[in-house]
Amino acid sequence: MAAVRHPLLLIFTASFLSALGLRLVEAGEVPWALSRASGLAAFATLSLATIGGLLVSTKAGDGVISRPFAFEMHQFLSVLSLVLVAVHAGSLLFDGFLGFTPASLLIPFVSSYRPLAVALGVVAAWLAAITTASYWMRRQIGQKRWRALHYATFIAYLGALWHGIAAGTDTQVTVIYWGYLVSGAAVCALLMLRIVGHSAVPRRRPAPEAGRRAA
Amino acid sequence: MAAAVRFKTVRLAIAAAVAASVVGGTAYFARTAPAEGAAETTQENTAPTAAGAAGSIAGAESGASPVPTRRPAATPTPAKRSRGS
Repeated sequence: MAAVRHPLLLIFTASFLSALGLRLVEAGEVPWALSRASGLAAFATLSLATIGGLLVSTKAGDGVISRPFAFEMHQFLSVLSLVLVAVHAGSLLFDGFLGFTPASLLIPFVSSYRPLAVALGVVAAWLAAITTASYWMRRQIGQKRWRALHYATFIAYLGALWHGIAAGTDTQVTVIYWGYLVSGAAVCALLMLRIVGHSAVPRRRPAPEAGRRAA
Repeated sequence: MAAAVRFKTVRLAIAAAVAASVVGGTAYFARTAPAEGAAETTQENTAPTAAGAAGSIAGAESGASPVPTRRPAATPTPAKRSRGS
């Protein structure tokens, strides 16, 4: 339970401090700039977290990085991306230009600005939060359900990618455009490897005990 | 024990790098905002040239805006106006 409290505390502290900082200073363009910077950083960390998770499950990173290290980084980057998402959304509240409200940042399709793209970002954030939190609730929900729930990460990733491309105002910057492309290609390639690898695994034979009993 | 210390060091290094990039990115975006405002004012105040018109047509055809990082707003902020003038 302490492990759950730690990242949640981190998220709330980061959101609170960034909100407090924006309230105290003459914000001007700062909330908008902070939202752009933290949004891009959130996508980068989410990409690395997804790639890290796929490296663990496909074993593609074996021999290059140790599996415990990849797993540790996957978990840490997932929490870090949530912190950045909280800063990304929280700072938009202080940008008078677009006029986001707490409801439009938490509920899909409430925002009037690019409703679909923003809604995808909201859904992606919720899915990422649920899948990240579910790690510490594996005992309660069971391994099978947790694994099924974990597949929602791919929907979250796709939603975040679409949100970044369609709602972001920096997509046409070359570095960012290529960042989206490389991230998407890496996740697609590893996902294909995962699907092919999963289907190539031979089915388990019946246990010898069961065979003996049948005989 | 050594692995735990190494993980902690890497986590701290990543967190520091991400925090630095967010702060740096915020400073960069905030600094480039006046330039966007100035570009808007320049476009508004100068007569269209042949090259400018060709660029606008090319931009409109490709669906790209001339200044990619410009804010998606209908009206300019008072701050931008004062910066440009």
